[in-house]
Amino acid sequence: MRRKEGEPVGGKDIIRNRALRIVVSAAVLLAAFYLLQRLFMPKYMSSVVEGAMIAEYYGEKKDHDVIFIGDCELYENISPLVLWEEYGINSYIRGSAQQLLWQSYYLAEETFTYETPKVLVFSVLAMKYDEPQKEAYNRMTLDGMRWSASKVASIKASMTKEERFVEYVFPLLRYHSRWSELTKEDFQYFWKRKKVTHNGYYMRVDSLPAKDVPKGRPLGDYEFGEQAWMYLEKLTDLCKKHGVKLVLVKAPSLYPYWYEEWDEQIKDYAKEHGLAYYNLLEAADEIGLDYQKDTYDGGLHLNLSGAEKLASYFGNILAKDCGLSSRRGEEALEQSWRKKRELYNGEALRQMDQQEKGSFTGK
Amino acid sequence: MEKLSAKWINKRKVLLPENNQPGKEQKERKVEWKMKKNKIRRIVWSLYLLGVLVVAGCGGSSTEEVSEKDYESDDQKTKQDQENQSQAGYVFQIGEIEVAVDMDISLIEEKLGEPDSYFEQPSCAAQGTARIFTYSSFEIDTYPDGEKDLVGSIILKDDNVATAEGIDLSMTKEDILAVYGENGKEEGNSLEYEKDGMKLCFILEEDKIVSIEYRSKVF
Repeated sequence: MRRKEGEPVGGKDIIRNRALRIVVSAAVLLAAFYLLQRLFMPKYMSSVVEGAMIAEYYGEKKDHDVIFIGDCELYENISPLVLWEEYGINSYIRGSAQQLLWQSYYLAEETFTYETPKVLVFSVLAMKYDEPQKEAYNRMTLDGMRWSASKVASIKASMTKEERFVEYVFPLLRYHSRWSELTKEDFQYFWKRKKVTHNGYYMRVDSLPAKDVPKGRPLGDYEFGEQAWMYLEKLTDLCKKHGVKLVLVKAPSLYPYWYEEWDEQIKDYAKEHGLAYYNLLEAADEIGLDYQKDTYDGGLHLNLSGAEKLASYFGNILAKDCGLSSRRGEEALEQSWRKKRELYNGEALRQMDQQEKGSFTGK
Repeated sequence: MEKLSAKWINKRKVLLPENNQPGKEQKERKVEWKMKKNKIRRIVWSLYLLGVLVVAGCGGSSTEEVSEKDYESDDQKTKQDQENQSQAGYVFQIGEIEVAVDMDISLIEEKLGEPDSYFEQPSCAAQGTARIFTYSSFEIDTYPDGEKDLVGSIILKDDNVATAEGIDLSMTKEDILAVYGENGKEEGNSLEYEKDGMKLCFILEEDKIVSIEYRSKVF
């Protein structure tokens, strides 16, 4: 009840007013903190776009048949648009740069809280890492994740010795030093960011032939690490629990070198656990890959032409071996993919045009 | 004094109604005014604290900054220190040229001459490019460190080259132990020695040396 003019201020009013003022002050403080944090966090829009990939998933309609989960060997090597166009498979790549196995596991766990795909495809190159590697890569995977128990666990599993959990909770504490390096981009994408992928696929149309790709040097120990095995086991169990078919793949990237000894371990694991494993490197000829034309960085990653060839080949595996039926004809999906196709083709043309003009920077 | 008093009253009039009478109600107004002042003070303090919080950590960052731009970091400083004292650890010598891990490859690139083959491995998300220089009997791998490319590892591929202490690929574990001692770390098929932040690693197959590798401690 409002106090009438001239009526004395009561004790309750004073307490209420004080409480209100405290709340308002706290809200102002929090809002200022939030806005500064939003401003200082890297936007990953014009360069290092890999940092913006993980967050893009949340804007999707989560009704996918296949979720790809892993590092650049997935997000640069396979085109979900071709999977849709040729096989009617609705897929998404939850990829990020140097995604470590525990990060893949927690991303899968988080994904299953939104949707239950029929198939989860995992890139096994991540098995080579048994401990946290680099903060820059951690940030690109973890900062984009929405807060959840999975994110907390993923941060804890991923942090290098120099990192602190509180800096993930309040990224402003980590990024404050960017104040002197803020650019137009930081203001332009303050509220809303543009899409940098096509259902998680990072497109590159340029080409750099593979040449002098080094062979693997002898290793003292070819056994994958304990941590890596533990999380692969957890991923297998998680998929089993949710009734999702787990498919292991080694992408047809020529480098980093994929050792025969590593391949054997994955084969044995897949056999032991009744999982499908495809070493697509061995199937390069069958896929029709030409490493003089289908890679943009000398054999490390495929370009658009290579990614479309791989999708065309792998779609057949998903359809036949995993029993995925075509969803072409579902109006909502058709409509959604029509829009995606426009963006995809537009981006391909933009890059080709820039290449012709000699102004293509790769982004 | 009278003038000052009038000024004081005028100032208050802005806050008090025209018909305000001094007395009990004026006290209430004073309380309200005080509370308003407190509120402003709290907001100012909050913003000040926020500023302090933001600025306070400016010098305390110890890990590599994560953004589109490369940042000078303590890591880099450590690597730089390692580079400066690199000659103190295990060093590979090819003719007159000394190659040590963590040294700037540009210092010796020209002297080494044209490699038999060269490979670049740009890292994902623009975190720099690793380079591999392959010569007939050895290979040098570099890793990016800001603007520089530092030597990450040197791999001896055949017995035309040897370590500075005289071990080559034609020898055995016994020879290694005789030269480097028993304090090496054995892991899987490797035997590793560490000196001044540099690693020298021998890969063995049934006690025969199949590879010799100088490694940076960064990895």
